[in-house]
Amino acid sequence: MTRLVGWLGLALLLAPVGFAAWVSFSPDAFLTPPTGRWSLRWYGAFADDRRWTGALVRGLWVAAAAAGVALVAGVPLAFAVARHRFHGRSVAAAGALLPGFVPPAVLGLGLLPLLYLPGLNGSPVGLVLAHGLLGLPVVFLVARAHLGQTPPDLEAAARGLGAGPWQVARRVTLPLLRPAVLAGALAAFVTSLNEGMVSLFVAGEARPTLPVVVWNELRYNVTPKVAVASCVSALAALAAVWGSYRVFGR
Amino acid sequence: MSRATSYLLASPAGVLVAGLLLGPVVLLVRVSLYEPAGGRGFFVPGTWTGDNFAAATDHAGLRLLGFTAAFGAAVAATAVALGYALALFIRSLGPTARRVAVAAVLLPKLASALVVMFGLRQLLSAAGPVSRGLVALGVVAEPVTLSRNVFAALAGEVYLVLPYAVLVLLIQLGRIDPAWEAAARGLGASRWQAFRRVTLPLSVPGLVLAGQLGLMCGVGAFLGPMLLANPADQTLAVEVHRQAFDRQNWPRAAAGAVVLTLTAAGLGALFALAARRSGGGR
Amino acid sequence: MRDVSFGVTAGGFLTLLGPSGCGKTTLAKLVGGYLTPAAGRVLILGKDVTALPPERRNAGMVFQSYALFPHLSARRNVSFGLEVRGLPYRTCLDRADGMLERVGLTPAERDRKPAALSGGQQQRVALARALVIQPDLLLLDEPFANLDRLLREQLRGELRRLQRENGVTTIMVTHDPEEALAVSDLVGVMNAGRLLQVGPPAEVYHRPRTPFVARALGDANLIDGADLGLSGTVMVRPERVVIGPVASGCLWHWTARAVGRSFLGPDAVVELERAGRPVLLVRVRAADLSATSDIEVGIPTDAAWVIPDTDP
Repeated sequence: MTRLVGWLGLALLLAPVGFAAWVSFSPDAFLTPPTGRWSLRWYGAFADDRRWTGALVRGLWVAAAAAGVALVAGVPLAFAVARHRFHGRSVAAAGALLPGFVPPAVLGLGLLPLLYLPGLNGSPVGLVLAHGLLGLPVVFLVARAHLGQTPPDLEAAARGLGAGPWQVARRVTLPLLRPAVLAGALAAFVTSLNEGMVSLFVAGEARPTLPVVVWNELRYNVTPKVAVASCVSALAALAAVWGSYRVFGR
Repeated sequence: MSRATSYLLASPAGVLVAGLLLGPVVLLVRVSLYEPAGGRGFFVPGTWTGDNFAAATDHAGLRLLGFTAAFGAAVAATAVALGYALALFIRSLGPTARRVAVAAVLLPKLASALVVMFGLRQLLSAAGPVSRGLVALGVVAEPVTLSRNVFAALAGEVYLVLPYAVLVLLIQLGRIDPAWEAAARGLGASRWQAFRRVTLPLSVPGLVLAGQLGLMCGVGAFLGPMLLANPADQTLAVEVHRQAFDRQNWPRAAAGAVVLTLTAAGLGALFALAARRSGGGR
Repeated sequence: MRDVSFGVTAGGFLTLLGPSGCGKTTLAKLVGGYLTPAAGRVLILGKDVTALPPERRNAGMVFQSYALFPHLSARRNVSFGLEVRGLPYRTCLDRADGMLERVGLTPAERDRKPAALSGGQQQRVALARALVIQPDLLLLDEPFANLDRLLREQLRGELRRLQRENGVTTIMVTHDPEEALAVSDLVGVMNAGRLLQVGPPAEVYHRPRTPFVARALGDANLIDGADLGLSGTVMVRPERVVIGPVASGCLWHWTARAVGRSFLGPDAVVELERAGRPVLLVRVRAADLSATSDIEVGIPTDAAWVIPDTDP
């Protein structure tokens, strides 16, 4: 009985996304799920619309770059916090989590000037940096947790065998950290791909990512194309996760 | 490794957080004190005024603030309660079933929050399955729109927070040695007593963290209220967006953002304090 | 786990001995109600408890990890079992204090959380917690495994004293033969889910029913009976083998070469070899050992035990 309720609860958690996916196969212009005839009509419409496909591709690039930014910022910080004692260590640890605690609307509004900064105007650099910031907490947390589980003895042993600090980092610490780096990078990637709130402020109308396009569509004229976009971006995220585990995972 | 190396390692993150978070927030505070430009530019340079904050904390402003805080608290409470139940359920499963269950919890996070809102809106629409089910069961005579109210918005935000809550609580439950519960049973505690006296107190750190997370997300809620609630029931985040985009009143939006940040931080700190106070009493 | 059947008389102390993975902990958990058997019955004081959950069996258990509740002080850990029985809070604490006194925890230590206690103190708290509920049965799962040797021997004595005073029927699980022999009224030797032999320590030690039991309880020379003009396998404990001039008075005696010696303080163990025969272990007083490599060795007839069952 408890079991049934539990699985039902989990199913309910999946219901909205599942329903959106179902609706995407609708043959009509109505937002009702197809019961008899399934159609790829709206997938075709999605593929034909340069605005949508362009937003999808742009979002993927931005997400990849943002994951890189989050890694470059988060992994070294996690290493410093996990392995060293220095002034401001706890401040640094708290600061890395801060982006997760500031309401996205505030962050978006605060970053609005990025759009108008000379040189950045219209380029996605601002968006990449903003999404990198959003990915920082998870990258930092995963890397620090992983470092906490790896005994420092391993690094000490490598030192004893004649490796210098940088050699130890390259040959022992980073290879051990690989699963955590991968997990953190993927989380940052998926966060960026799906992020719609800060993007709304920073991406601008001219070069939107997919969530921004979906947002405008949701507010004004809703067609099953929105459902298609949802499925496509969720599939892209899934493919990214699966693919990177095939390539980089053990 | 030297201290300089530590700072070197911390510097990229420091630059990122300082440049894209602390800097802009400080800037927001300054912007919130400018006079609005009324559509011609963002603000009137060189001016100082408290009017934006006065507007944010007038009668309507305080109502908005109260609603936002209550909404956040409701999101946190619902997400923690449901998340704890789900986490306990998932913990009781075998290894394979557990993996499937965790995947089910995480899967919605692969899709955009907008997808969840869209799906929920369709599910709750007059033509949606819930409404039709109610008609079929004879609960209502006509199809009803079940979105466009506070509860739909609440459900939407809970959907967004729940996966995090479940994860946090699963990690906390993973720290509880099953032998402790077994020992409690062996000493004569019933299942309920073992839960009440051992599992629950040992879950408190996770419950507090999940609650804080829910509170932060709930207070900053934007998508749920925007897309699923009645236009009359709006949160501060929606108001910030409206001022910035629809009214082009950047100083007012900035004042709203400052108030929102302070509210979120204040509620979070208050909650943590209350949790520590009650946790220390046991 | 199959064909396991044993009983403990009220107030007795049974130890289940076996290598890790032999099913001894499983057996203890079955008795305690933490696992449910596919078949078979568990009786405590004549009452069938097979279908009862742990909390209704009134069996105190000391887990190998102690399983002390990390969020409760030592005192509250001990009073837990009384609190859940609905006793007045004061009574619970008083009785917990009394029991902690008996296991030798100072009042200051009783207010500490388990993490702030030493291994030995944690073990005492776990024991007090199991005893304070006045259990019909005390279950001990490797209670001394996480302690160093000196403390282990000390606590072993205290456990035996407490158990006698309390008169509580006890089942202990261990992989340490010395521990099993030292504290038990009955020792049961287990292997691969089977209970091979149950009996008083001296009986199981000197008259093992299988070669496995013989080895499980300590060093044993297992000699092919044909060598001695007997049938089956003959077991001789190393300390029963004699060396030197007295050896010639034994029915079986010969000259062997010492190929290894280990000094154990009061005693020494010598490995002896005769051409083409397996090594014979001999345990003697260290003082009696000469430096010569050729040694007269003999086995007294009463030292030889013919193992009836030759399955391993």
